[in-house]
Amino acid sequence: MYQIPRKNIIGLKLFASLAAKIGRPVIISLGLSPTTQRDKKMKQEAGPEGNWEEFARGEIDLLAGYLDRFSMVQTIEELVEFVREIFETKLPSEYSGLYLWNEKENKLKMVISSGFTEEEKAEAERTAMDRHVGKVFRTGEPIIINDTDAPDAGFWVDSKRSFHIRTRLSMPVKSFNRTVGVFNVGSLRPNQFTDYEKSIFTIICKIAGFVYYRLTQLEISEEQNRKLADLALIATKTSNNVIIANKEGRIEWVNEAFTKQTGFTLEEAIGEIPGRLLRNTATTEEQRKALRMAILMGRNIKTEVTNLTKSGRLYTNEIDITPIRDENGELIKFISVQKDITERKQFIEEINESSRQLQVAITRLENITRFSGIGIWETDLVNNAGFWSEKAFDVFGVPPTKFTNQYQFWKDLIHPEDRERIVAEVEGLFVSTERIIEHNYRSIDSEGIVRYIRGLTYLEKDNKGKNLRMVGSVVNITKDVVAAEILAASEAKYREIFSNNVAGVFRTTLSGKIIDVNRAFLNSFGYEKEELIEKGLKVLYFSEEVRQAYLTDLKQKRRLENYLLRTRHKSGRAIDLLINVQLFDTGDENSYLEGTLIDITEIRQAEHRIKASEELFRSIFDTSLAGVFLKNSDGILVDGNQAACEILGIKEAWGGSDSQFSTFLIDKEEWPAIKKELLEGLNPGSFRMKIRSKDGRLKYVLLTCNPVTLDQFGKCLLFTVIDVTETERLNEELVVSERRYRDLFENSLEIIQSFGPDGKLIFCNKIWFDTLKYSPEEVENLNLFDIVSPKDREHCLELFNRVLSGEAVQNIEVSFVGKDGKETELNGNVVPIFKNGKMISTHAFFRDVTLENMQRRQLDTQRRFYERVIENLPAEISILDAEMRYIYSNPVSITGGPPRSEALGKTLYNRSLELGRSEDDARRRQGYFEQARREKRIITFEETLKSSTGDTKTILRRFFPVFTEEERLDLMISVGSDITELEENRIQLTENNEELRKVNHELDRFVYSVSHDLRAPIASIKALLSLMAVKDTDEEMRETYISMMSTVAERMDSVIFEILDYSRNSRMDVASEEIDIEKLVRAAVETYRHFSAIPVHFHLESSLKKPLYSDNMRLQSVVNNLISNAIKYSQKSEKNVDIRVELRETGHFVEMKVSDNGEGIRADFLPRIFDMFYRASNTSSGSGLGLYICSEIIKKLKGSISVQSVEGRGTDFTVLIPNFALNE
Amino acid sequence: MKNVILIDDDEISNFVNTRLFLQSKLVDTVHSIQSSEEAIEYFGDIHSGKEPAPYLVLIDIRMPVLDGFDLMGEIFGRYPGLGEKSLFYFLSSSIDPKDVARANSEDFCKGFLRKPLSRSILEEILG
Repeated sequence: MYQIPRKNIIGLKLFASLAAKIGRPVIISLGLSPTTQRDKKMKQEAGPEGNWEEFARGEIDLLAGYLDRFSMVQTIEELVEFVREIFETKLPSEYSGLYLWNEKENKLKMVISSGFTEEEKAEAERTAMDRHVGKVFRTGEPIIINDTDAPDAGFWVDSKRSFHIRTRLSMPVKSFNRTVGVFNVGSLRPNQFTDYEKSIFTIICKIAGFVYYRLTQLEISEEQNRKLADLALIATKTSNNVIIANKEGRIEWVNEAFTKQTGFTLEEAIGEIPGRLLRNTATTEEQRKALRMAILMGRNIKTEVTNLTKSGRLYTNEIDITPIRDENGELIKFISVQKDITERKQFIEEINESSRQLQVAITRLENITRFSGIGIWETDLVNNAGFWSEKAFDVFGVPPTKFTNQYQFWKDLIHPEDRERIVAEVEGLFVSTERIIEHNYRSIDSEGIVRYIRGLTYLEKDNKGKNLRMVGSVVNITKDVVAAEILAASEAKYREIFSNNVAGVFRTTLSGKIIDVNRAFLNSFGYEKEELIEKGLKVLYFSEEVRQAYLTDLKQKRRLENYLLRTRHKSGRAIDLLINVQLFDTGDENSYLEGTLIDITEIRQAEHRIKASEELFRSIFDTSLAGVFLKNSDGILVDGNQAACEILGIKEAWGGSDSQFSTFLIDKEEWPAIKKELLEGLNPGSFRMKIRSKDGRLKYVLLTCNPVTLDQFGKCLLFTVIDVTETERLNEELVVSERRYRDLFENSLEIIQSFGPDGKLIFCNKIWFDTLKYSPEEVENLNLFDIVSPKDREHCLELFNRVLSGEAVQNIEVSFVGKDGKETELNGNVVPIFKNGKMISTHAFFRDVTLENMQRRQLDTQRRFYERVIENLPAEISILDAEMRYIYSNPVSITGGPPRSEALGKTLYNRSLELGRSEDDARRRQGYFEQARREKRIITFEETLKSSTGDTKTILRRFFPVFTEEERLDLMISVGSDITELEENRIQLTENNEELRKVNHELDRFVYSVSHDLRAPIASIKALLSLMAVKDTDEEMRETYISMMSTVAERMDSVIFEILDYSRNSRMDVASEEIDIEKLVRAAVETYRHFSAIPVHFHLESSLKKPLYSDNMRLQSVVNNLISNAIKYSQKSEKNVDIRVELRETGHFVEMKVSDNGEGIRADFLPRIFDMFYRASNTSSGSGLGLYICSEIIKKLKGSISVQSVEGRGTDFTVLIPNFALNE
Repeated sequence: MKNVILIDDDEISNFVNTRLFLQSKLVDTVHSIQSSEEAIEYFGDIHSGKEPAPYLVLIDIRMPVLDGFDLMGEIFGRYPGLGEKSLFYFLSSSIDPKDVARANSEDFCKGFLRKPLSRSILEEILG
């Protein structure tokens, strides 16, 4: 029986039961999640919830059925048939194929194919390993393509039909880790297979793999068991070593041959793993892997292994391992038969080496025959026999007839000076591991001439290191050596010529890079080589056009001879060159040109060269810009160049009257004298003459004449005529320009003066004279210090010395005194003028700044005025820039804090913190700044700060934004003014206002209350009068009415008195007089006791010693009020009124305590009893003013009044009266 | 039966007004109350039914302890429902416009009457 991996089945069952519990499709997400359209479709078919379970159960039953069927399969044909059935029913597709590995044929065979023609099937099988099928088989990884348009994945290989496979499933058919086949299905529709189908597919492939593997192993083991019987017999007898190992590969038995070969006995070998025992380290990794795999898989393998014997000797065995199985196909052991093939291996290696050497020799020989200049020799060191090729004799220049013992023969040929060295080198090979040496040496030929030989010697040794044979080649390199020597000599010579040549020699690239140039070349242009390399040759041309024209000519003609080119000297002057140049055009950037050039700018030099070289003369003669003509001793014109013709305006060669130079002269009379001078050579210089050319133009020419002797013409006179018309014109221009400069100097608005080191005036310009009022005659001996103002002399002397020491002094301020004594203020620079390193004069350039200085001083005064104003304004004035940094602060500080100049450069924020403001305040200030900027208006705010003296200062600050024309903030002016006093006044005013409001309110109340209290009696009286007016009022009633009216009138009167008291208190000044307070109290008691219905008991207790000074009238009011209240609010239940007054001194006060036994005051009314018009009692019809007036009076006297009362028991009033006598 | 309650701390005022009401024969009884405590007690009796609800109530404004406004606030706070049974008038000699305004703003109050009362005023409020 075989084991079936039930994992997937169990997994599926799990999902199914889970599906049943939850009843959602999600459950089967692993295999059945609706990832494809078909999944969704399947799900729809399965129906909602409940059906899913049913569906899954059905599938599981189906799979279980498959397993049963698989277990009963007996042959591969049955297996294939069953798999086909499963795939046709479960995985219908257009194309499907099952490939299985055929062990015997060593290839993948297509055992199932549907949808293919026979031809396509054969093709598919043939190319299986090259296609994805092979990839799946090799890697064991499935390839799943759900939808693709990629052609390589979708199309059949080499098929006559071309069909686009959109879905492809390629599954490995696996057993354990071994892939035994591939199942492949394809569909023309994308996403053909659901995930569930893919899962089924995987499972079936796995199961099929196991079954297939089991079936094939059965076949193999049957065959192997047959072999086993034969092998057992052979094993003991064979000279091959034989190992029998168990199924784990451990040795169970070895034969004698094994012991003989490996040195390990049977006892030593048992239980070991052969590979480990025999240390098969020399066996390749690939071979070892194959071995391991074969043993693991129980497969037959035939391979080579290289092992070590017990003693450590390497040997190579051909090994044949056969697995042995029982009748059920179970692996039981391995038999390994090994054949020693060590010697065979070595033999093969040797053959290989020989044939390789043979090949080398053949190749070499082939080369030799091809290049006939090489001589070949060979020496058999064992037999001392030799061979020299014919060419070898040629190389050494000796006849073959002299050939004897060839080694000695060769040695003798070597130049005695080289012999020892060469022989040592060759014989060195015998003891060295080197096989080949190469060397150059000299030999002497049969005619005694030295030859140069290059030799190559190869020593052949056998594998034991014995020297067998030497083979060599020789080449005569005499010619090369000599040529090289000549070349070196020639190069040195060339270099010398090159370097010392008076003509410029150059080799450059076409693009203008220097390859090499000589000194003369550099001298012609005035550059150093490095400069030119850096700047490139382009600097030598006046324009790129000139250069291009030159290069174009050169490219067209390849060689330019006597080419005239105008170039530029470093100094900028033009130099005319005569160039001979050759272009070596390689067609790439390596193209270069090489040539010589001669500077023919200076005709004199050219003439010298003419004398030196007629050839050169000729070229210059023809190409020179200077006209040259030659007259022989007879005065006959013998030659003239083109330039001469052009200068004289002659088209062709000269003749007739044109041959006389004098015919062109404007002033013919001067000619004889000049001619005389020229001929006598008294004046070797040139003559400038004005001529009229043949074509009628006026020209200036320079004429020179030199006697020369020429082979062709004998003694001659060489005339050179140079057109200097242009030069003349330039000269004239120069004169004009100089005059212009002079004008500038003269008319300059700057005062320009030049003094010598001795202080003497050298020159000065017109404005100098105008300013200083000297006349030109008067300044002859004028010294610098004559004109310097006395106050500036010292300073000026110091400056003058500085200039004398070579310094240019700038921005000098000085006053000069003119002849008229008027001072002129000047500003300017003085520079020293050097000539040949010596200070020769000073140049000064001054500007009259008298007016400017005056204006500046005025401005300064003005500025100072404003500054003084700002600095002394009683306000903190600061100016900030747009970045909120202080750029100005006046010194005023309201709070007297640290100097405000410290703020400069700081930000508003930082400065605010520095002055002790909180971060919030600092931010607030920033906010005001931003507001002023944003709203473009003045922002005003108040700040309260502690001054350095600790007072609190209130500062009103204003931010005035100042904007630029572009409306950007330019400046912010901050002005802070001290408004502490104002603020205090304001607070005071607010307080006063509040007071006033209160007073007004009270007054209001007072007026209404008074009017009420006054109106009430009147109303009563009016009502009583109307009652009295009733006719039938009897006399008794009338009397009652009248008595009532009287009471009412009485009350009204008392109200009026109280109002008077009140008014008096508030209106009148406080008096200070000595008061007998005891008398006041007694008087009051006497006055009011008559109002009482019951007897009044009065007790006075006084401890007063000092006289009391206070306001008598006011105090009387208070005492009257308190005493009358004590009597008024007596209790009806009491038999008498008890009034007790205590007087005593406390400090500056007199304390008066008035106590009664009256009705008392309810506790909740106590706080209000001193209020105006408050009446706490129903007993009396008081006005509610009495206690109010008392309290007001005591307040006025700066004393105090307090009350203590128990309802129903009595009341105590305590009054503290200040004694003014003690206060003062 | 028209009965009147007078609440005034001024004894004479009450006397005079009682006479006036009785002489006018427009009312049957006049009950005068002279202090706030007494007034609260009397209205308690009215509330409990011991005393009949008055037809007309005249209240002085300026009184000791509790003024007319505070007193009525206290009474209506203690005995809800009283306000609908009688006509309430404030009666005062005050000429303070604030007093008049406040009297007129009270819901229960029919109006502000200025002292002294006259026959024509009585006829107006009782007619």
